[in-house]
Amino acid sequence: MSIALRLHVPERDVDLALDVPAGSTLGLVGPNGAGKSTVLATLAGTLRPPHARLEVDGRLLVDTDTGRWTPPYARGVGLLAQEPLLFPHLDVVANVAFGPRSRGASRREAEQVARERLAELGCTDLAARRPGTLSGGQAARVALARALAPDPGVLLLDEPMAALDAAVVPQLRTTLAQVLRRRRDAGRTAVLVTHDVLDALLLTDTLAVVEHGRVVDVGPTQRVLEQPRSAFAAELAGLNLLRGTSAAPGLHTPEGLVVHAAGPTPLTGEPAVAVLDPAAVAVHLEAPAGSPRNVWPATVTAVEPRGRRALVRTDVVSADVTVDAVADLLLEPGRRVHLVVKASEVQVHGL
Amino acid sequence: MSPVGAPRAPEVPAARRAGRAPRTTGDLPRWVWLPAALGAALVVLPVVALLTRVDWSDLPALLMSESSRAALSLSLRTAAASTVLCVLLGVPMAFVLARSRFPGQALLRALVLLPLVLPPVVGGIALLATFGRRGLLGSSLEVLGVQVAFSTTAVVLAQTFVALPFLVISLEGSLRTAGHRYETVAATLGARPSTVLRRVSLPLVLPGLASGAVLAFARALGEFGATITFAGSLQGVTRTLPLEIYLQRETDPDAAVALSLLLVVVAVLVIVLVRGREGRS
Repeated sequence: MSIALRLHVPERDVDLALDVPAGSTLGLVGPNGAGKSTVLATLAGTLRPPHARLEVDGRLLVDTDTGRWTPPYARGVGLLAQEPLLFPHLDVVANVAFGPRSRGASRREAEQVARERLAELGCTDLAARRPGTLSGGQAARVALARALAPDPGVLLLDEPMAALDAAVVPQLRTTLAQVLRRRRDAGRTAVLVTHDVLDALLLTDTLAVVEHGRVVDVGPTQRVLEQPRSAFAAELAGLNLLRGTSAAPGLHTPEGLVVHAAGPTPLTGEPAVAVLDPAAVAVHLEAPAGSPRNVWPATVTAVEPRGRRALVRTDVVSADVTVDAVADLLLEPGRRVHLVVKASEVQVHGL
Repeated sequence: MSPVGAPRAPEVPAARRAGRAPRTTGDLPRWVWLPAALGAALVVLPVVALLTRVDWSDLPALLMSESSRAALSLSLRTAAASTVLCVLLGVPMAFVLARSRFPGQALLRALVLLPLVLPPVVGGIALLATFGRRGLLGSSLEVLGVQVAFSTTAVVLAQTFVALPFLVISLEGSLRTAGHRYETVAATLGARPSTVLRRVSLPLVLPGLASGAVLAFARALGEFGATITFAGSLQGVTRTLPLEIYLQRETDPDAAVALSLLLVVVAVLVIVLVRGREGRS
């Protein structure tokens, strides 16, 4: 089911267009308040935006110009939210059977479908339980089974794993990947909102970065993460991003920083970004002498320990160093340092 | 890290804490207990006093007299009918107030609550002005040969008038607490609005609906002012238990006390029912 959405909500400063081909999973990433929820609510039909046009599988669902509006129950668009929101007064089977039953299936048919979905997700033994007795991970699986039971052409996933214990996330992610792959083969489409780079890499084939209500980058997930054009995607991928203008020997930033890069550079004078891995950034207290490398004076703004390594944030780029280095160099906020990066570790992309 | 010499919270002696549940709120000033105790006494003492006046040996006979049985039976029947009417009308009202937005909604909500604060006698006068012989609707009904005022129907109408807000408020509160997220999920699963109402919204607020219905029943059972004004006091037709108590007080105080005890028991049962439900949810 392909999706074609044009959306303009002035009061939320959202103005964007999204096209999702049939059988793909689109990831939506971006800072909080960027407009991801507005997109999902518009697709689900829980929000009635002032200006919108939505086609699903060539069927015009919403067109504010002509006043066309399709209520949520008639869209064939399913929603799996951050919380499972299982109906507390129904047992697990009845929860999962709710969708098919609401669409006119007989009690027996609906229950049959429910048991099949539960079996696929390894929840057969939960069938007679009440939602209140389930663990967070179990409830999430049942909620997924319930969302899948009516076989929606489009499945919306709103950070489905954000509220779960870290221990159960990997298993559920694997399950979700299997489910999405199966649906993909049947031409079904999904839209996933996430803050997790692993979710993006493992579950989506297309990634759209939404910032300030605009799509600032969209493309194959790998490309968007490895060659980020937005600060958010770079941060998500754990990469440094510097904005500026392309010019020999690589990139010039508005702050006057000259970035040396290797490899092909885009047209001179065009807006561009330089991308570099924090692990490629070395931290020195004194500027090392004479070599064709990037040496940038910087001030440490934060040190974030991550196991045996630490991410040293500065006013220029972040460096990934060992905790020993943090101790040896007395790295702490306010410390003046020199950041050293090989030109071969820097890539410049045109925007 | 707190700097050295920072002021510390004073240590609470272990003896004072022993055996007490930890408190999260600050200690109350002691003097607050005095007016609070006076208030509690004002409520409890009259009920205790009533119990001291009960003639326990004659109680069965007093409760079984013909007039008492007539009043009790009429009260139970009319209060049950009013409760049913309150549910049929109040549930849709609560849904409209809690789940939709329209101009004048705030005003409507305020007006619906009016019977709560209005003196019941005034309610009775207002009902007479509506359904009385020369009332707004009453004159038209008269043409059709229907006379509402001073009938058992009038009793039910008067009781519904005063009891309806209890059900509406109770249910609207439950609906707001429950929120509409489950309803949104149900809609995205393909359920039409009527299906959502029947299979999700109503079951979720069933405890609130039950509490509201019990409260409405209790209010209907105790209704006096609007009833005597609008329906009069005809034995077996409009003379409900509160009216019977008021009349008996003149002629047979012991019977009045006995019937009062009956209403106290019903009231206590209602509180237990409603509070028990709230405690569980």
